[in-house]
Amino acid sequence: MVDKRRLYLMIAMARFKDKKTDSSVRISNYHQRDYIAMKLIVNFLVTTVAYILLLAFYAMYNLEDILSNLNEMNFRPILAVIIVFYLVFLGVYTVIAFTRARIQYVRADADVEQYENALDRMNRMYREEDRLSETDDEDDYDYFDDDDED
Amino acid sequence: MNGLMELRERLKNFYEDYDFVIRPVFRFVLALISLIALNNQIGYLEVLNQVFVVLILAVICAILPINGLVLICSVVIVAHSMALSVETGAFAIILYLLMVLLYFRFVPKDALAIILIPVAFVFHVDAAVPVALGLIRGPVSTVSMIFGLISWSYVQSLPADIAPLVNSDESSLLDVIQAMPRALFTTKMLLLLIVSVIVLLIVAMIRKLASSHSWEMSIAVGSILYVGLKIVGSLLLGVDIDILAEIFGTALSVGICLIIEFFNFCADYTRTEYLEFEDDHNYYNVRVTPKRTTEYMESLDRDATEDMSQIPSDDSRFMESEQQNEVSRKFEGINLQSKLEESLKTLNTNQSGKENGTGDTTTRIYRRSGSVSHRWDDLETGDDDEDRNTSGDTRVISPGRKNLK
Repeated sequence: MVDKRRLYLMIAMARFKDKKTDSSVRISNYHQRDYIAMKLIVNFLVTTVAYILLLAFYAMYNLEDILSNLNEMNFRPILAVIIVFYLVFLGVYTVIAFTRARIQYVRADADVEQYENALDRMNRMYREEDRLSETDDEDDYDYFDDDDED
Repeated sequence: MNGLMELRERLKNFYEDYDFVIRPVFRFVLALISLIALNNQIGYLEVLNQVFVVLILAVICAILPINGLVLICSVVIVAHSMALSVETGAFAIILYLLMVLLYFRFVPKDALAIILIPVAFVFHVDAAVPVALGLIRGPVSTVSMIFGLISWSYVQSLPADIAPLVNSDESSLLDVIQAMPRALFTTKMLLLLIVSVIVLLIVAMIRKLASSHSWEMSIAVGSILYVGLKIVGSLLLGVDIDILAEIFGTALSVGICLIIEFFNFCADYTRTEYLEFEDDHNYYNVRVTPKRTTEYMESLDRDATEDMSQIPSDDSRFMESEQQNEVSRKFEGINLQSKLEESLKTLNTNQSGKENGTGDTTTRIYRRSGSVSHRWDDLETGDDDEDRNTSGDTRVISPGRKNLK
């Protein structure tokens, strides 16, 4: 006979696994530091690409002015401004990415811990059922240990 | 009103029962509307204007998750831009890539705004955008609304400003390249951005108020503010707008927002209670507003309570149930400790008898039982009539010991 409580627990666990295997389980395979470091590296690359695109966008917006003043331009201060803005831009996005990665990791870890607790509970249920069925199996045998009969 | 409430509940239950069909159909319809609106606005690539292509793309969007719709519509916009000219195509790629890299990689759920906002503008229900976002998502959706408005600005500027430049013989490549970002941030678009942001923030603020009818108030105030600020702004900044069309569109948007409110938030303010209580740390002033119910809903609640008491919700999925398990039910009413002591005494008695050579047999009889709950009753040890409890309680007898007294 199927234990209803175990069945509902298995349904909940299957639901969790279906929804969260890609995210929570995958995230919790990493150590927290490694996961955050990986996210920060990706963030660095993506933010650099985004900044270059923003510069391109700005250049397109002011193309006529840039081209007409190209000969008189002093590139050093312009480069300095670009680098300073890049560092500020990168800093802001790094903080956002770090915070997000940390929150994601903590939540994923908590989810997986709950899942493991549920697994333990389910294993206990199975062991209890095995123990009870072993006692039943002993009942099932006609076992005569009769010393008197010849 | 009661009829509307029942209709709402029936629709909700219908959705719950058939959501595996309704969701793809909804995505299909949304994709169809979006693609048709985009093709009407910027249909430069003839292949994508074909009915069968639109239907196939809509079917693909129905199969994919909702962000698949965003991706496909973005690709359609880029494809139409590419058909106009290579520069406009490259600019479209840069624009949508920037949106994804700057914001939507953190909040992918809001990416739908990139497509839905241009569609809302095509259907002239633009006031619904800030009001609905303020009601449902709150102030956090400001950035996604801004990007959605930029997307609409690009879609609108392509046929209005960019296409004439591209097709003109007098304009150069530099003119086209410079015109594209400038067409995004015209005075009209800046006015629209500022008005939308103000309206969204005010709607979100009013909705959060602890007063009755906050949703209705926020819809009314937001709509009036939207049309008022737009008219005043257009007069001050010299922007041309069609006032009658704005008023009509805003009225339509109010209807849409009221429908959204009906499905998301349905409170019965006539039964509001105000509670005050305290604990060791805080004073609590709580306003309790029950949801609107009908007899139909109350009957659903009764049925749900009976059927659903066993099934765990997502919140309680890993919580221990208070329900007794089968094992504890089998041993209900039995004092196991006293039974164990009894059987140990019996064991000691038998053991000492055996040692003394009394000749007691150590017969261990196990009988197959039909069900576990009766296994103890099936054990036969000596005089069963004396041992069997006629009241129905299961007597635990140490297995296999004969002549127990």
